[in-house]
Amino acid sequence: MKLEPGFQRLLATNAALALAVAPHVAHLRAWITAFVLGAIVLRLAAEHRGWALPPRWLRTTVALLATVGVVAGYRTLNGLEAGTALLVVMAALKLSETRAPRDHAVLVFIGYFLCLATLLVEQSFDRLAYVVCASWALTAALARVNRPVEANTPVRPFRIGARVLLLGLPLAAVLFVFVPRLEGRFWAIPNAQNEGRSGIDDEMSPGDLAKLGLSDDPAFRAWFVGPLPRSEQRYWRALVLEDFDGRTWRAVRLPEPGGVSAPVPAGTRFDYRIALEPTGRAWLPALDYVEAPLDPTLRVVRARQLVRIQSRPYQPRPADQRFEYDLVSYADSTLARDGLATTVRRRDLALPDGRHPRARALAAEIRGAASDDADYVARVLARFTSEPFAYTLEPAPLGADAIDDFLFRTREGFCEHYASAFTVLMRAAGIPARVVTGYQGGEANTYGGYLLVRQSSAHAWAEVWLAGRGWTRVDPTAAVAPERVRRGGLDRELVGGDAPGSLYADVPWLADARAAWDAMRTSWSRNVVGFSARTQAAVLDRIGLGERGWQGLAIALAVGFALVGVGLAAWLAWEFRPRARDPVDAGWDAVCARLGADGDPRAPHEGPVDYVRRVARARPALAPDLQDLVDAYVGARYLPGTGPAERERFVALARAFVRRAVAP
Amino acid sequence: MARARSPDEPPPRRTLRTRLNDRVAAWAKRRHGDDDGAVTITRRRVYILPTGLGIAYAAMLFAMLLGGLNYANNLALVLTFVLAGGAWVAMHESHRNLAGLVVEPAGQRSPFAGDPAEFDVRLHAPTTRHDIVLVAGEWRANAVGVPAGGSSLAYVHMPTERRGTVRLDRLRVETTFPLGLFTAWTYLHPVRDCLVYPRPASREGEGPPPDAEAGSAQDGRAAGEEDFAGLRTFRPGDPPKRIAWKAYARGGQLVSKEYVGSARAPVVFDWSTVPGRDVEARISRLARWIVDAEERGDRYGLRMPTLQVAPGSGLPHRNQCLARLATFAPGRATAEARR
Repeated sequence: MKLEPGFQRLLATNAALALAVAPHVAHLRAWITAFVLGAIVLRLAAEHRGWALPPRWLRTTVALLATVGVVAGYRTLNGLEAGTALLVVMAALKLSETRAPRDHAVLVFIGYFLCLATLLVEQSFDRLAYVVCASWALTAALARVNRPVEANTPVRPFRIGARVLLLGLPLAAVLFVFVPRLEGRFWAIPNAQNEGRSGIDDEMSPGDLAKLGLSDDPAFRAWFVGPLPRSEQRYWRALVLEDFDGRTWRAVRLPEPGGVSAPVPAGTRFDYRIALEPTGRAWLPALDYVEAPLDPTLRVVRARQLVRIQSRPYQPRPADQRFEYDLVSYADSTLARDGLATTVRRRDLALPDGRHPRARALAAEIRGAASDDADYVARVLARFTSEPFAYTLEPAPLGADAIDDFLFRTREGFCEHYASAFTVLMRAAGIPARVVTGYQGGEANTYGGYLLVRQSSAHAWAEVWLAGRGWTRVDPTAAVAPERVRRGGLDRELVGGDAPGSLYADVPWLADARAAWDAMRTSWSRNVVGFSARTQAAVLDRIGLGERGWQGLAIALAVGFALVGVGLAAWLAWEFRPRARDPVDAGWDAVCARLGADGDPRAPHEGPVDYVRRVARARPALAPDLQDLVDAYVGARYLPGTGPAERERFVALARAFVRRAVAP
Repeated sequence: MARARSPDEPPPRRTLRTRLNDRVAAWAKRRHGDDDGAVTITRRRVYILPTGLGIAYAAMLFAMLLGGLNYANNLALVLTFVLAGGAWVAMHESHRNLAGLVVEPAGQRSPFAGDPAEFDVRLHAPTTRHDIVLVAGEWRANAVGVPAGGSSLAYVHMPTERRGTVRLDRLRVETTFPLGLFTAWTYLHPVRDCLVYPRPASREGEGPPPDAEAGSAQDGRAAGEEDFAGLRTFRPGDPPKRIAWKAYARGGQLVSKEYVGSARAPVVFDWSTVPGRDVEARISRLARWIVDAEERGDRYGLRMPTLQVAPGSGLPHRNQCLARLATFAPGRATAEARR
């Protein structure tokens, strides 16, 4: 179907606008979507059928009603959703009076703003790719309305748009790297982003969860300067739970008496950086036991837990955005080897009065047989393997006394059950013990050179204090399901069925592709999404302008601009270089130059016929040749229906003439 | 610019914009001088500024930048910078689209006073150009493109009021390609004069031209009663009345009817026989007679106080006569008449 140019133009603008609106449809009220769709369909129909556009009073009334509708529906205009809704409504209204190129331009601008809003809602690679495509369509629409209708083909404006945006990319890159970033905000709009909250809770009640729901989403990624920790060393400590009421373990918020005890370094040193996905919590995972970090926004608190703080006051700051931190840990470092503060010891031995009678009895029985504390620990672990304990993600619910019920009746559960029961058995035998939650494991990603730890690697284990050794990590789950620990994460065979992500593990190339994809996304979110004032400073340092602060940025911006500008100018100059000349033109110019050199230059106003007539009069000897020549030229150049044959004939004649004239 | 104005003279209706434009054009003229013949628009004489749309675009980008920085949202900044890069490339493209263009005077068409004069301009370019617009005074031509290594024709109209000449001395060549965010332009200062023929007087009121003096109807036949001699191929200049339209409809070729012994002997329109005292009215009357005679296919000549045009016919002849009328200076004529 051949579309009329005016209709084509309107269709292009509407299609581009629809592309910009589409990602918002999920958040928009249904009536707004219907409103803008209706406006598009009506406007196109009006153009196609030649209907008159609605009169001014009608447009004004509808505009008022729609604005009132948005305000009533969203209760505010100061918010991303309400603002987006208002933009969409404005676009629909503008559409009803769109005639001139200027109106089209307004629609295109609204489209650009909607694209921006799309990215404010979510910063993913796919979103950006989509938005760039939509912006391309919008830019093409802008190019289309700027040109006379007859100059456009359906495709041409898309070529123009693509060209302009692609050639502008180097400048965009310079701006991206060197435009200064802000710390903080000018103004806050509520609900800009609802970052997902996942990760580890600061409470743990093993009996309550009927099913452990762990997603396959990344929890964090870790880059190591030296070698990676071996898989049995990959215990990422996040939270220490010390208070137990018989069912629920809770973190203690009190400061450690006498200050946080420092670990004694031993074993392999790990220098690493962790990029944490948003968790909504202030607790940060780290290999045990972490050295005091250099980063002033990080603090080590009670029981060597790592938290992120706000600069002032010293309140924990939840990780509501991706962020990175650098740490140092030693593989075999020890904590509190020389003794335990009395208050800590008391807290880590406490058990609720009168609960878990069978567990206490069991503890007394095993302790009686054991030679020392370490032997007791080994015997308790041995009991988990010798008795029919099972690892499952869907354990049977526990009764009133969760510990006794688990140890003597159900005997199935996952890490939390084992850590909890084990710690109770330790305390019952007079060994200070606490539950630690965090992550265990990590997949090495060879493309990105990092360890990827997923939410499904969340884990709980225990720490016991042994005289002469200090706090010692004991993972009772490892006794029951060594595979769980060796492979770092859940295992399909182990849990019998659908552990997340396990589908990929069986197909090597799929797992590989998945790793490559994750590496790409990680690089994307670290270098693009996570680009910050800090990264910017690092870039400046690398090019030697770091000490100049904002002046360095200004210099880099100016130099980058100049370089890219010269590059673009050079590219355009090359592209606009004169192409190989038309041989007919070149031949005619050669003839004129020849005659001119002999004393008869062509005057600017003289056409070929006049010129040749004049020269022939002055030099009759040349007359026949010249007549042939000009006939051929006029024939090749101006007569309708001439083809390559005529052109070649003239070119040959011109060459022959010039050669003959040169010869003496 | 300050100039004493008489109180009853209406204030000149010139906006700030046109005044600025004039200033810039005058400055450009001082800078580049008059342009003779084909002019290559060098990069030195291409000026470029954002359009209103371009300023709005910049404001939009600024708002987007603030939003992106405020939310520390790098992807919003990516979008903003990609669009900024696009605008910047568009600026270069606008400039490039004009630089290197060759503007050459082509033909021109003389109008009757009151009609616009048409000046043709041929545009050449070594590489493809898009959407070039010629502006002369109030006139904006339709945008034309130029194929690589080729040329295309555009024209501008200049309004005329009275007979004489009209001069095209300022031509603005501009383009907003590709996105309309920037307008690149240059001023050319050709010196091109175009004759403006006197407007023929209306047919009503006064009688037919006095042809008694020419002694035309001596063979006793009335006008148009010539003998039809046959058909010949149409030649430019043949009066439309002589075209054999029926033959054209049948055969598809333009042919003219030819008559033998063109019945009427040549008429010479004499200035002194034109009734009335007003010079312009008399010139208009003469113009009417000439135009009518040409349409009828008569042979006619012109006798003015200072010059004479021998009888003839055809469009070139008509135009020659009208040109004499266009440039006729009555002051000199009356002076000579008195002598």
